[in-house]
Amino acid sequence: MQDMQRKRITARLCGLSTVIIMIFVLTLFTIINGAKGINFLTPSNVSTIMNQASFLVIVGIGQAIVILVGGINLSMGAVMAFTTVLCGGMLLKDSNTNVMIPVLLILAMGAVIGFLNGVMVTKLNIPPFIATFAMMYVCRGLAWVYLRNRVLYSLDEGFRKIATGRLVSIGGFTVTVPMVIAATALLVFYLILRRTTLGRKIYFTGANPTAAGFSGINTERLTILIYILSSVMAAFAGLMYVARLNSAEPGLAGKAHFEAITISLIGGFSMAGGYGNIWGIAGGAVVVYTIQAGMNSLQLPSELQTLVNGALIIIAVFVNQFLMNKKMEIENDLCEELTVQKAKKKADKGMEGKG
Amino acid sequence: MTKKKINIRFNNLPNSTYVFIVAFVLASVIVPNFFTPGNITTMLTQACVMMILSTAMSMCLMMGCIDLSLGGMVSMTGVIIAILLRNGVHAGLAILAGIVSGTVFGMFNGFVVTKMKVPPFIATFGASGIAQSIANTLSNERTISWEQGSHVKLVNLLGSNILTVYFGPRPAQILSISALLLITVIILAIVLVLFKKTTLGSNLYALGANEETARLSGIDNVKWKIGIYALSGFLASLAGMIVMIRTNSLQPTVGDGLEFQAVVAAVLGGNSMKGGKGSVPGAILGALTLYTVRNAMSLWGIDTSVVMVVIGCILVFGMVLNQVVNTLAEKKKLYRRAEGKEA
Repeated sequence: MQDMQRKRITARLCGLSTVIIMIFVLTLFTIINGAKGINFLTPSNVSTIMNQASFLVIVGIGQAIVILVGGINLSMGAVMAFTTVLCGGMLLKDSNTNVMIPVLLILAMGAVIGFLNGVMVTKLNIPPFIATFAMMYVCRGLAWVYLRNRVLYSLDEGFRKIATGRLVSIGGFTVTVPMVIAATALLVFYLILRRTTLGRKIYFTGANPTAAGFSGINTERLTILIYILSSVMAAFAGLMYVARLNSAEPGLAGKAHFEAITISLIGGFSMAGGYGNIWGIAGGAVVVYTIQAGMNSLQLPSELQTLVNGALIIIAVFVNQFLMNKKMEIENDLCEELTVQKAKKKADKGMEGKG
Repeated sequence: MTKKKINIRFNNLPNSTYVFIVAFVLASVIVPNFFTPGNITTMLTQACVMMILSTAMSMCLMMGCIDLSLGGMVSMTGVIIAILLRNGVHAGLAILAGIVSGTVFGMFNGFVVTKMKVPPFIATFGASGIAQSIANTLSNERTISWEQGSHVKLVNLLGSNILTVYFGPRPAQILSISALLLITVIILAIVLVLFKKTTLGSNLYALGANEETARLSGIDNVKWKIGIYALSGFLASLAGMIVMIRTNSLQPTVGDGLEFQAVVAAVLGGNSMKGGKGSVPGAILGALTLYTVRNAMSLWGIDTSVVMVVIGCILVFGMVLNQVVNTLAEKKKLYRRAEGKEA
């Protein structure tokens, strides 16, 4: 019995792989920084990391839901740039339009691009990697064509609040608007994925599209919906990015889709689809930005930062996969043991009845 | 009888042939300076690197993996060779060092994918960061050039033209074949022969179609995957060498984004992202298609960002065309089978 209890606890622990990686990375950088006499885990530093991570969480959610249905969206960064560049003129300080108009337009454009992605993937049967990759080229190219080498600078102050606004400060830890937005988005998607039939359908479609189709789910429509949601999230993230930078430019967020894929994988999503917990995205984003902030405070040269980043991503995903596999193994073991025990009990009862 | 044979041959052509022919003919008709010996020379020389990289990429895709570190490895090996040349090392040794480092890096990729079981997409993406970082650190993010001397004789030799045909006095009328093009053709020929005549091809298809079945039928999948990643690193280092010799100096960011062009070329050539399908010649033709489009559009004076949009559209168009061709071939097969049964 005790053995089983221990196994159960290990399985639980392995399931928390993202948290383990997060704690590991945080302690690692705290120790290294501490050895150099820098206090890394100050409230203000932590709040900076979480604020930075909030931006990536939005992109990460968009990527994660696509990964859940077994796809991939490489066009996210390009969508962020394209939509904001095209409507950026209306976001400027000296334009006389209501801020809501460009915001809604940008989200709508995101939805249209997502729809096109979804149609290419489902109706034209193009693999998601290629379809979204082509979309990335088209969007990025159009953004450059539209703006050439100009940059739209100095945006509306009220609009910029979504990226720079501060709410309350508790002992150096500042709660910012992006944090609230990211938390809300996570909560909404958690509710959608875990508490509605739509969420069940998404997981089912990702795990086995054929079976899902046979059991009456319109997988094509669902996939298109997911791609639309993903692109809308990208457009929204684009809004937050330009609000933070105070400028819209065609080169915005060149590697955002990769960062999003990385945090989804560190967050425990499987590339094969159908597996993952949306809260992992928050963990993944914090891990990525802790690494970034830790290296910055150590003042590593930028070319070395790429190296450490690459290596740590590989290691983090490796650890995650390892722990996940371990968890599955233990759970399988437990299942078997349980069935054996049940069978035994049944047999015992049968004996008693006869006796 | 002969007619039937030709028909079968026609069906076996890689799908990118049609896209390539359409692109090439359109370019020749529309763009005035495209179909000249001089321009064909330029285009082929530019396409050398991509032809090699798309070959490597198509082999990775065939076994269901992907190698996003190709661009990083091109930069890294190029920088290693260039730095050794700058320090006065003999060119042969420098190139050998570059090739060895590329191959070892490829093996590292294979190790991470097979032994550590990290998904290829993320493993090679991380590796590309590592390779690019090595290139940047070694070169201090500056362009590397080297002094002339006896030790770079080999580089100059490889950079020279081995055959020049004059159609006229103007540079546009001169067709020249460089040693680099010859090297590329030889390498590609060797890979193709290996692919057709040894178990390389069939094993790759088997691994890509179903890894478990392949393993059960006696293919050592770990060994093969590491081997293919090593081969991919080897080809990338050759591409790095070619870039370095062609430009006669080296920027550490030279490989940036090449891996994605290689994916585009390979996929245009009929490779599937899921593995188990595709062809190496198709990928090479895909690379040629890409460079035909780029070259023609830049001759026409079109902005590079528009070229990006056009390439995106061609990719979608090519994919749809691939599918149409596949469906037709499938139908034909079914039809023939039905006919055979009736007879």
